[in-house]
Amino acid sequence: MVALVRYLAADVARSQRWVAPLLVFVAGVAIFNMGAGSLRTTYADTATVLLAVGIWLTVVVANSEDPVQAAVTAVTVGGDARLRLGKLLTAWIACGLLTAVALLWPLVAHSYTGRATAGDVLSGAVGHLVVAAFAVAVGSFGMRAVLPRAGWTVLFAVAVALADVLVPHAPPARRILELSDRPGGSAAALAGAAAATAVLVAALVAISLAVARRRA
Amino acid sequence: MPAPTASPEGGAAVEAVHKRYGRRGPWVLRGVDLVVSPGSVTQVSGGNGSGKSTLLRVVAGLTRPTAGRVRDLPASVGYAPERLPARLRMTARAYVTHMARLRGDGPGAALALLERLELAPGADVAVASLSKGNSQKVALAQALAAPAGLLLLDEPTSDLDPRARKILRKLVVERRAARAAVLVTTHVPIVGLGPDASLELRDGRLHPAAAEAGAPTVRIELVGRGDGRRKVLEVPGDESDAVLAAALAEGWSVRSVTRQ
Repeated sequence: MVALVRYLAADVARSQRWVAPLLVFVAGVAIFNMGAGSLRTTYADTATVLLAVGIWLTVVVANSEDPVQAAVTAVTVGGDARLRLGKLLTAWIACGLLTAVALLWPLVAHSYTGRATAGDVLSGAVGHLVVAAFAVAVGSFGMRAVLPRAGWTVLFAVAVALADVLVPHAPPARRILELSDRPGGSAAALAGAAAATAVLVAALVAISLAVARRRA
Repeated sequence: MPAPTASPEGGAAVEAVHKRYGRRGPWVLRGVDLVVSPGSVTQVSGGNGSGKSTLLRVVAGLTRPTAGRVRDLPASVGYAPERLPARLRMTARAYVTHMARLRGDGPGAALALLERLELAPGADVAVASLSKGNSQKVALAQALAAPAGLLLLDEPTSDLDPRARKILRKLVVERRAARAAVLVTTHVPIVGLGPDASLELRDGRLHPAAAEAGAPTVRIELVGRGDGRRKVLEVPGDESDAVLAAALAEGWSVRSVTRQ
């Protein structure tokens, strides 16, 4: 899987299609660091930005290979399910790099109010990575084999992202926003949101992979 | 569809495979049975749109049969499409290196194959900027570098020059000697490949190539230009023009053509 992630990352890097989502993410992080509140609320806000950008990045990674190129890769790695999982893992790792940017920005720029603790940074990291996993699962529906038309992909992604931010208690983004307002927060509540997200991610990825396989 | 089962010995068995795209699409394959054994070359010919590439994709596990199954797929499968996409941004060297690493191998074998196939501008040119023939060489090198198992070649000579065709024939014979099971689809039978089985895909079904079915055949006697080597081919009557054209293009002179 390491060789597959390296190959996919090299292919996407050469495509330069990662530039636009990266710029949007950096802009979002910069905006949420202007006149920011506590470190926890800043992290919750940038995690929400990662939801949208993570979906976008996943669609970029999933469709970077030409279909013929993807066919060769799938045969070489021993199956298209393995290749698709490799693409989702690559997208999640890319989101991990964005997470590092989001975590470091307020610490370097001192753009938060109050004290920053290691616990805040840790819960911020967990929050971003959990949101990233959800974003990747939603983005997996943008695979050419599932939603071949860009218009439907955008509609689907926007609808799910908005619902996840607006519906009360919806894991992971809305829940993390709600938890960030609680003084002291709660590691147990974050773990609960992570567990609920894991179930959602597993279900969404299973559905998108099954649809992709059916349409092969 | 049951998942393809793996076999350490190589080869593959296609059992009663039917395929159509969508629920109402026309049938592309209508009950294909095929066994590709280790150490053999199977050539499947057919016209445009006869379903050759679909059959290859089904065997490779890329396309799901509507009915039937593929079993005994080996762990190592090499697949060469007709040519690589024009938007493949890596250099030939980077691409075959990545493909080798995906198999857990070093890039040595694939890079040596690029040299043997005489990739004209060298390995450090982006695949996207290669000619069709050179792009096909890169596709072939990454597939032929796979350890002996199943080798799937889609129209492998369509864009190659006569010299590269000769080299490819040698490479395929070497892979057969290394116990690989080779399945080749081709629009025009490849001269001098000497397949162990020659089949024709027609109306979604595999038939013995016309020569084996007792249809009229044509005996073609060839002499190598320059080296004087002799070769006698017996080909289906309706393919003799194409075979003659390919033989002339590959540096042979026609000594005689006899209808049998």
